Amino acid sequence: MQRYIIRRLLHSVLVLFGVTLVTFMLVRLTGDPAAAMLGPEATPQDIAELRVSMGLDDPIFVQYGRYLEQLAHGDFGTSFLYGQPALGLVLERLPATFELTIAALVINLAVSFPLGIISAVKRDSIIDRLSAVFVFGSQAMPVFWSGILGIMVFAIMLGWLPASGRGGVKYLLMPGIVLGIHSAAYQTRLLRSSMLDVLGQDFVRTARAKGIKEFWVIVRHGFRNALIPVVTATGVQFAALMGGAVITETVFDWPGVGRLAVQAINNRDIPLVMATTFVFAVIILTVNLLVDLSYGVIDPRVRLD
Amino acid sequence: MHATDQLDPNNLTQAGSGRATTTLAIRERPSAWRRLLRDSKAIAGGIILLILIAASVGAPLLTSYAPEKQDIRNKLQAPAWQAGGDTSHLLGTDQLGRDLLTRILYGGRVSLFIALIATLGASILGIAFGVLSGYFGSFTDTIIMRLVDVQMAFPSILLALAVMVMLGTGIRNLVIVLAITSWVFFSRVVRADVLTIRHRDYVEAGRAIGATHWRLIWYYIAPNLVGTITVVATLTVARTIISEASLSFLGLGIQPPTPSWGGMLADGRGYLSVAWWIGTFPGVALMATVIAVNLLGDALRDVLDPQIDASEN
Repeated sequence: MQRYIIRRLLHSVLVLFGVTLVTFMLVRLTGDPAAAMLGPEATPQDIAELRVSMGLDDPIFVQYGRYLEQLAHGDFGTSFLYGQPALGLVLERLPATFELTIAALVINLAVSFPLGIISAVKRDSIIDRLSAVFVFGSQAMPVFWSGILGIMVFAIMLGWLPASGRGGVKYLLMPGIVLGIHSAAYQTRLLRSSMLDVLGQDFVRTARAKGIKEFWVIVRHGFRNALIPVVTATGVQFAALMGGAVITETVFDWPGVGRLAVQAINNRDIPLVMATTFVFAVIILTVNLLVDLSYGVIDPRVRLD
Repeated sequence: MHATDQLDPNNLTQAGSGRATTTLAIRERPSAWRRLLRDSKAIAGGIILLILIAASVGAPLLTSYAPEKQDIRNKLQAPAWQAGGDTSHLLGTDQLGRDLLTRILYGGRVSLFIALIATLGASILGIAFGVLSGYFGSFTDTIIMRLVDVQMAFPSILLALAVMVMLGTGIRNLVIVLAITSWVFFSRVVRADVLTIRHRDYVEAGRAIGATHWRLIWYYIAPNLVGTITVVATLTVARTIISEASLSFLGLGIQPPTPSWGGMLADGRGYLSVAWWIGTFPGVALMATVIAVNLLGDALRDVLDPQIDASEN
């Protein structure tokens, strides 16, 4: 187990290293950071001087090495836009993004688990059909559109909820539901097919034959085993959720990392772009790591080594 | 017609010479195409998609307005059935007086075209890397799969946004970006398929008679990938349509005044309290298209039966 954790940690560090390399190369190969920093009014001399002082004339791998050294000290540079350390800006916004994604996750589970289980147990029933419609519909509905419709109905027409911004639960409700429902579609579908798979197996028949109540057969024997592929997919799903958060935050003016990232990208604020992608990558990798480690808990047959 | 559905009886009876009535009526599985035509999801998806394609390709025949023609005097006109609207603009007009229906139709052209080309690009890239990874294994595999891991480690929309800013906007760059963000889905699935195929007996036999790598890949392995690739491609088209709309919504996709569903919805966001139709109808078109493509993809998956992990899509 310990060896497995260490190996997975090393792997994560390697991937993170890759993320920094890719973003660094992307930024350096496609534009001049000095010109971006000084803006359109800068003269060529200004840019040339800044290039020298920023070390941009050194070989690219020297620059990358220097960049990594700074990262190791937690220094992502200063945001052009805000004039503050980039990493600090990102960390400041992180609670808002966590608030949104956790709300979305809660809604996701509250919708997808019951729906996935019921539609598998009552296969081809009206609930199963409706759930299929839900899955197809919400997969086809990008969050920015469901967000717009939500604002139109619940904020403008009915006046029940605020249209944008962050405050109490009232503000969280709409973005959370929009993002949660969107991500629940896939989860429902996966859980349904996984449940169908498990419920057809011998040990479920044995459990029924033993006279165990159907409810417990479904929950203890069915659901618990059906959960494994769902958990496996959580890693990829989580990345999608974070991506959804980027757009949801933009639609609802939610002051999180996603909106900051869009702002940074739109303004070519390179230090901020690097810091946001790095933090996103760290979060997603951590979740993936936790998911991998949780296999052993959910499925005792899995031996991690 | 039905003769083709059954196994040729001559082949079966030759061995038992004379016993011509060996009625081993082994029904061959109907062809994939035939099964697809019997699938209600495929039919529904196909019909919706055909209508949408016909409407967007035939846009100039269906509407007399130009998608970019402004008419400020008639701005924010309501749809025909609502007070303030009339039949000259069925779905109303936008903030610049442009006919909404016209823009939706022309926007569909752009969306579908971009999604198809980007998917083609992603599939070429993804298949190439997937085959290399699965066939050669070891070092090549490690490098490619680590690359996939890196890409999977951050939200594709962020990657797309970042690359879009670096490359600059424009349809060509948009296609490149969308292809870059979806090749991983192909490569993972193709790699998994190749891994199971490459050690099959007939491939080993091919190798034993001295077939080159290229020949083994192209003639022995590739034909078995067609089903999987078709399904992934269809589902990728749907996802790409949404990605493109998202990028356009954020202002980095298709640039105005060229109509795009995502861009129109972004416009609509500013007029939600006065003109609900701008923020609604482009979304309906988008949703209908994605549902249609997904229905088709789902049906194809059932029919071609590849072992695709649905998590990819």
